[in-house]
Amino acid sequence: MWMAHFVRRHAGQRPDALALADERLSLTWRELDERTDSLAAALIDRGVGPGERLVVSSPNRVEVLELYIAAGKAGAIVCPVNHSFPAPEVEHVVSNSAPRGVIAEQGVLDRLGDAFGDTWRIALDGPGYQELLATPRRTLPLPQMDDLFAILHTSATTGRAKGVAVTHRSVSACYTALAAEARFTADDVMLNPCPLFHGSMVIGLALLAAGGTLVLQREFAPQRFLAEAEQRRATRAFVVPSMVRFALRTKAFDTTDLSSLVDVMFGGAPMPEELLRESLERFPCPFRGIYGITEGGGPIATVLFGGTEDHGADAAARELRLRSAGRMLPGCHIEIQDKEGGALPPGEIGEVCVRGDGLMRGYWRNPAATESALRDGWLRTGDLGYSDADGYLYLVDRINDVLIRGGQNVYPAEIERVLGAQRGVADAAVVGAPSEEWGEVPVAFVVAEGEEVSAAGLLKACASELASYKRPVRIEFVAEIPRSAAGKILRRKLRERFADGMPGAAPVPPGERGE
Amino acid sequence: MSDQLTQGHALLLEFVDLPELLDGIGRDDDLTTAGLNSGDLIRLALAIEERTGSPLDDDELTALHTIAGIDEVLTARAATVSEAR
Repeated sequence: MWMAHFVRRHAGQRPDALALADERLSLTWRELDERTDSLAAALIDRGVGPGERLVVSSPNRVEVLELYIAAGKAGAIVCPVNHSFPAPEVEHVVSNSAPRGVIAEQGVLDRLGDAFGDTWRIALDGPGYQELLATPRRTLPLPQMDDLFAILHTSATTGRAKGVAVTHRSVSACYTALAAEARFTADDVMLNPCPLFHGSMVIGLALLAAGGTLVLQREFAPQRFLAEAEQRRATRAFVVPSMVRFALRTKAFDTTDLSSLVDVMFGGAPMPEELLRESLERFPCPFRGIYGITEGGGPIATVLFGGTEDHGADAAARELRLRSAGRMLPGCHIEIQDKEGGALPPGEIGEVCVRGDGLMRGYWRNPAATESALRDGWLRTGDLGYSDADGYLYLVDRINDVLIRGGQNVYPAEIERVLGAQRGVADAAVVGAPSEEWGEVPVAFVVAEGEEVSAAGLLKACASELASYKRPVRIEFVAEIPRSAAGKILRRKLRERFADGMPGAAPVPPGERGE
Repeated sequence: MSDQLTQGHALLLEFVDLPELLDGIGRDDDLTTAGLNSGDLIRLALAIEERTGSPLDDDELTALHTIAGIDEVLTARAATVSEAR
């Protein structure tokens, strides 16, 4: 019921205040409530009622978020799909979620067409969407807080995305946490250039639940981000660290008025310390780090840098805390555990585990994966870390092989699956290489067994089957992939090739090439 | 072959992760549709600002989605610099 609840609450309390905006369209709370009522009725009329799935695929725009809210009002489950996914990735998500309807931008429908399956499709920038909006409003039964709200597909260790099933309660828990800690208010204006198809969309929903105004940017361009922050007098922004780095490099940065900003929130990946220091020096506001995980319902810990938050009187401790992922958010209980699930004391490294109302219900129709991730009520995040005596969390490594490129998770197995299927490829392994711009980028190591295989050909194969952020930036041919006795790829050995910092820093000698 | 590239095409080649994606691309083809990612275009835009010394405006950013558009932006900026001299 969360979506219906907060929209109706604000439509009643501040009907003419701005709720949602993009470069083309602005909606007051009253308009948002009315439109989402009509859309909810229209979805039910088209078979997308309680428990049924609706795929939404589009770059950021007002209609995307109003569809999420409408699906929530209808009791349906929204399945956001990255609009830049190539057909094979979309086919997998559609196959996994079995939607009753698809609403996407016309350009996405034109490009992907049959990948969406044989269900009905409506262009949200076409007349069909206007027909949905013209549906008379009617009273609908309120969904329960424990009903599913969304299935968010995330990259996975298995090489195929898994659907993270989250409830209305999970989304409301994110609001409770951020409203308390980041102090969202109805006067806030948040600028959000981050895509709405993954877990971070709950941050925008939390801002809306507080009655603030959410301004969506279709795609991130640092120049437009700065211009809109100034023009809208944004009080908040949610970004990934790469976006901050790009914004600082624009010619307009030093002449843009950002004085309205209360803070800049960043997530998706740790912010390098030198970038954080520069950001605190050049932006006129503090930065709030958000550590989260889709399976945890979004943010689970936070820390404010450069603000009034007390990080202790000791200068050395304050310095160290620039590397912290934060302290647990209200309602997100974090514990460092050993492999058996036992709690570890401060200072000891173990797996970061979390429990609370925000946790996913489980992976959609994947009980084995759910059982592995959720144990005794705890979500095992796959991150290794420790906490200090004051509750600050520090991440040191990952148990799984995920790499994070510009805030988006990429599992090597997905890329290895594509490479391994190409003719002439005997073996392949992918690791993250350090990147100043993106944090990490995927680099592939390939053992070739034929004359016809080439780096260009493999990169093109990846381009046709993988979203752009998952494509390797480089292919290195090697004589063999280092593996353990059990056959597991020894990624650490491959990562050692990047000891100097950049991909290709330790190129493969010609004699070792497998061509 | 390389001396047949326009200035915009050559600049683009410097900044894309996978230059192979530009093989056979037409001057008016949308670069994102061709498979370039948003990071490619951001790096390109920042490089143009750096080389020409002033911020890009909204129309110029929009134009950077095709090779023809990149050429137009570069030509217009070169002309502005010439006039200023």
